[in-house]
Amino acid sequence: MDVLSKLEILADAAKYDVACTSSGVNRKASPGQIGSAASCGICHSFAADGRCISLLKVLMGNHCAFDCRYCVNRRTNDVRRAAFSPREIADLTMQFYRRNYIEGLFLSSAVERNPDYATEQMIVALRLLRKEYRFAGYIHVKGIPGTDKSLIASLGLLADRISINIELPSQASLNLLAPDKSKASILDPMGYVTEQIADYKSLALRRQGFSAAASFAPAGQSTQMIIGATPDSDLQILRLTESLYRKYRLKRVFFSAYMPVVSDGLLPAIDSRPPLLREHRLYQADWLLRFYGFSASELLTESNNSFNPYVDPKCNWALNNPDFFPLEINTASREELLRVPGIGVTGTRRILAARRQASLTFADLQKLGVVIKRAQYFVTCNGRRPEDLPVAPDTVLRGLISERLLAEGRKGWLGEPEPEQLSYIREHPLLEGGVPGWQLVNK
Amino acid sequence: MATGEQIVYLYDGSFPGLMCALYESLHRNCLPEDVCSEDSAVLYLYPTQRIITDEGQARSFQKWILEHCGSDVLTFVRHGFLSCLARREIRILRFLRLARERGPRVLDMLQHDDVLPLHRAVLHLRRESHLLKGFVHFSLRQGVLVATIGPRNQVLPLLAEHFCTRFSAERFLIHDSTNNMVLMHDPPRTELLSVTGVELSAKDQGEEDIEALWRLFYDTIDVSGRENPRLRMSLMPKRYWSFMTEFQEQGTGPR
Ligand code: SF4
Repeated sequence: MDVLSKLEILADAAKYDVACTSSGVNRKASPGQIGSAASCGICHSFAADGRCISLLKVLMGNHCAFDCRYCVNRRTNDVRRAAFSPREIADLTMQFYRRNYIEGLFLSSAVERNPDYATEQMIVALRLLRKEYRFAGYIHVKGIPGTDKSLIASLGLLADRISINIELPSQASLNLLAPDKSKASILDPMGYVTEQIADYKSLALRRQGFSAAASFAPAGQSTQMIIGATPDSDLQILRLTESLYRKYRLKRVFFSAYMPVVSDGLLPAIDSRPPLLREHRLYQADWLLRFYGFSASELLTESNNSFNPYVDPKCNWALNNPDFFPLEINTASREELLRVPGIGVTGTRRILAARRQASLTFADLQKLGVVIKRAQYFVTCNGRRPEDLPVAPDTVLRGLISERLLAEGRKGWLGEPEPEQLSYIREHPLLEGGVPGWQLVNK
Repeated sequence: MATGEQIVYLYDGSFPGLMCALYESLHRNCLPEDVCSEDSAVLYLYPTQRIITDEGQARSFQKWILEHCGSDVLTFVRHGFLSCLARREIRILRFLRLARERGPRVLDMLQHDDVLPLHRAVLHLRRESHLLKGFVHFSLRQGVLVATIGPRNQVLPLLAEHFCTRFSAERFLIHDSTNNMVLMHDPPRTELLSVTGVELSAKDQGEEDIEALWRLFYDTIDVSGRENPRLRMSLMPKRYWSFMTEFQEQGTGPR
């Protein structure tokens, strides 16, 4: 089979892994090497679905000994199978890299024979790239559940990032849909990677100034979970995400809306649409955990365990916590500002810098990049609310909800004329000036 | 306060030339109506004053900016000059007058009218150059990696370091067709040149095959059921597409 046909099969089989970031490590080529890595990450194109294309994302091969029911490559599925040789992978990477199509390689594999054999094949390919081709670009490699630690150790010394995918967010779902995998076969190697990263980092610190120490997955570790294939709730997923950041020091947790690829009585019907909005809300919540100082238990509770489809998780939190507001822009702390809907990380930084120069008005906020139509319900400038604060319910809704979602809601989205989540927002006292603290402010 | 004067400064269009014009204004404490490049085809309603470019004076003025306002302000001014903002020269002048008063902190004063438009223009330049670090796609022609881009801003000075580090041992050439400039790397030399045009030699043998592989990869990676053309367009505006391999049919595009 020629490389073109293999690429078609093996890129197609790899595309459901959503991670394609090349961020987290800065590196310059030393003499004789080719390539570099930029910590901010670089996109070389965008696919039709709007996702960044940064890495050559392929499987080494898609012959699989496992039978995960949600996966196209499962043993019992009837698909075209192919395998690259390590040399073919290395050559393709270099040809694409030289033309600046990519930042590097994202190499993964189905379980060809067994986890160790499949991993050994990947190691050979990465060695070719790093040692023979002197490639200094970015490499993300997948750790296969159940792989021996010694092989994971070799991977970590060759790659910038390792990911071992959890895929299903609970033990029950795992038992049901991925009979060859267990919680331990995923979490053990993940924990091992976490330890190795920490060990190599402290070693590098101690050796500083003596010699360039080897690094182990310097761009860290990530994982992915499939959303919507199983009945797990947003709260369960977010809690798991939070503990992965805390306990395993993961750099990223990715979510992938389940796209039915095989018919199976245990899975959503083959013609069901991927829950893209739910995936989007989870990503927003993930940002709140990582950059905004929120915890999972603030965003969702047992009695309210899924996100409001109409407003983003931060706005939802604000509506549920009216006592926290209004905040005074000219005195609020960084942590407080970060909690205001319509103010992001950049906006917060700009506000803190600008207010040292002069006290800020609503007109200034606009210039600093704050989304006024959202933030105006939650802040004051020098003790005042905006003079023309819109309170007509429709205007309020349009300020907090994107036009598109509002239109869909009105059409009877989810099959109801006015979904409950929508009327909850429309009738919220905070937005009518009905909260005691608010009325005082206006006088 | 400077006296506003009904006069237009004419400079030679170069960065040192602009530095001398700004020096002239700040030094004499005179705020001209406008500062324009000699070759801009504007009809001036005011008397003009021609500024002589003096490299030494330009250097010492930059040193003054560095010492009084800090390196971030100097970089900001340089980037402002490379941006595509209309009347950027007079805006840089107004910005520097404020910087003289406020020092390095001037960069935090986004709410100020002499800062915000320039800040947005500089951000636009920096974003565009970041995008192009990825969107520049080379093809091999006579052993040289060649790419053409059509940016809005003058991004080549910002791209030079990135590409020279990444492809330090490669010979490459990036042609900015908007600003008629070329970045040439022929190790160990790197040059930034003004050109009137670039004639491309034919693609090397085997190049079409690799481009076909890339196009196949691009088409395959798309997950049907997730299409979001609006999102793609906002992340990768259409004006960049015609220069990118994945949007060229086999055998089309610059041969
Ligand atoms: S092990 Fe990986 S490739 Fe194999 S069936 Fe499971 S998810 Fe698919």
